[in-house]
Amino acid sequence: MGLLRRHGPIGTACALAAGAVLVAFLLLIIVLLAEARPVVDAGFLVDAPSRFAARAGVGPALAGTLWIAFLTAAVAFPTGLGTAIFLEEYAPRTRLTGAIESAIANLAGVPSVVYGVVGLALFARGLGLGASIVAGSLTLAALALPTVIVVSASAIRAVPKGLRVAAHGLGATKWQVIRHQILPAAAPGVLTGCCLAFTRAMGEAAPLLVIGAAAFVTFAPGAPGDPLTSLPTQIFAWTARSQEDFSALAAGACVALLVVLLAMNLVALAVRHRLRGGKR
Amino acid sequence: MTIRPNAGMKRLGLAALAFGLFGCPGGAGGPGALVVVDGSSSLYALSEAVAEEFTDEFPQYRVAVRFSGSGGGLRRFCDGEIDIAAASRTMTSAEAARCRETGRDYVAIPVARDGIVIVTHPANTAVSCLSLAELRQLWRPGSEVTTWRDLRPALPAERIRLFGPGTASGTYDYFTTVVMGRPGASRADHYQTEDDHLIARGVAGNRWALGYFGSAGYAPSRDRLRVLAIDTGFGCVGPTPTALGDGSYSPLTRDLYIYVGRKSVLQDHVYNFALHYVSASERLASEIGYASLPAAEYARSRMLLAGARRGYP
Repeated sequence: MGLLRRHGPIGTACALAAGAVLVAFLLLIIVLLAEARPVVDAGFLVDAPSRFAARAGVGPALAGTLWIAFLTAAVAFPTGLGTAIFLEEYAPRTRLTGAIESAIANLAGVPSVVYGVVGLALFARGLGLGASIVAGSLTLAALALPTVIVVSASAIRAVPKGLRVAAHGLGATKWQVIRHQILPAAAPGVLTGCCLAFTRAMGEAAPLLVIGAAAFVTFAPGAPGDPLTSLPTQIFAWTARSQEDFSALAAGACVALLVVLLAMNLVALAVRHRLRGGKR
Repeated sequence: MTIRPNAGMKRLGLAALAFGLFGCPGGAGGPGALVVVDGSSSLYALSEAVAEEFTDEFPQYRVAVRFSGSGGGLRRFCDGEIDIAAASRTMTSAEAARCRETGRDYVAIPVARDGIVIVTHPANTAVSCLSLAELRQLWRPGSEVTTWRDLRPALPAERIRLFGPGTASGTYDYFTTVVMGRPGASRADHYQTEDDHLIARGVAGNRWALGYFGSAGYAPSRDRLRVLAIDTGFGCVGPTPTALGDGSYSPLTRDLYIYVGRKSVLQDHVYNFALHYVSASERLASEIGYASLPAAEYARSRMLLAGARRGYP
């Protein structure tokens, strides 16, 4: 009741919605942990999968996901940011750039399986990369790229015009303006967007399954050319099994995946905080 | 394939990266050597068990197992992408031609025997045996059987939900060949997947469902499925280990193979893995849901491998 008096009816509804989201998130974690408890032990994060649920772990899948996160970001971030800078700062405003922009915006909505098929044809078969970690990473980079571009471009566009004009007025070159004024101002927005794009890509199983993720890998991948394995595909392989114990393993792998994604978000948050602090 | 992390790798272009990492098929077979097995989902449970045992015994080697179906695995095998293909049927002449084209010389090694198991929901007790003719009527291309009553007038008029292996599966090829007389002849208006677990789940979740797959797909879900016997004219026979062993569950009994490249056998890790596959199959086949082959067959398989290792044709 205090809530209603303080925030009014609409404010209260919004507060309840926020509360529901929090409760849903906590429930998700609690259910997963409860589900995972019977089979998850100390070795779960390093052990290889096994046909005996008690021995199985997510070691290879976790290592695969970390590899993929690194490679995907290493490819998609510079490419996406570069494209966004070009479109916003260098490209002339013609019908062609307009068409390119709307094409990119549309690509951001293409279902992930479609990227899997493209990745299979282009990276796995075309470049001869096979069903490897790089092939999967390049596919996920392609999946994340449109979102990275769209978000970065809109963050760059949102930088106040006065900032540019003033910097130019003081004699800064175009690149100096971009490097020292626009990018720092746009960085928080760019980071938020990239973080969303990458965490979504990390959670994808479908495109990796299309490329041919291995169902059973006995070792943690140590190089980009090693067979493709990841937490989402491991979760898929385990949930498809009919034995109960493997559902528990899948729940454990879900928790591991959530932790990885949360860690990625936290890193982005920390970086963003530092960037903001630097400006003040 | 041996891959050594290389500090200068990052600077290389994409194509060079691809070459640097993948341009060395085979490798020396030393520590860290990788064996990739792909193919039949009917053999997946066995391959998985063998891979696990193998890495327990040889921790220096690494194994990855995929299942893209017998057809998918054999194609990758002929293209030289993988060392070992698991197949629930022998190679077709088209596949053999492809292997000849790419210069892929191989040995085919029988490792276990399994039956194609026809399953229904456990609550569906109205039917316990199907004749081969009924199977044909149910699964033929363009079949008009949609309810159990269409199949046999005494059965309820409930819609049959059908689950079966996908077209890349050797089980699909084998089933259509022996039941319909022509590989690939099947109705297509049903749920198809290369993943046996999904077939088991589908049938276990639908009271009036029917599905078929290799017996290893059935083993982990035996509590949730009901197996139908098959009548080929000599009475109803179920896919029991005895029936699989003596061939009375005919014609739905078949041998399962691994295909090993002759050049790959020259590498220690592939040779050891293939040998291990044979001996582990002899020990584990019945535990995982297959039937073992006669001991003489396994002895012959070992000789085939040893011969290939020495370069005998």
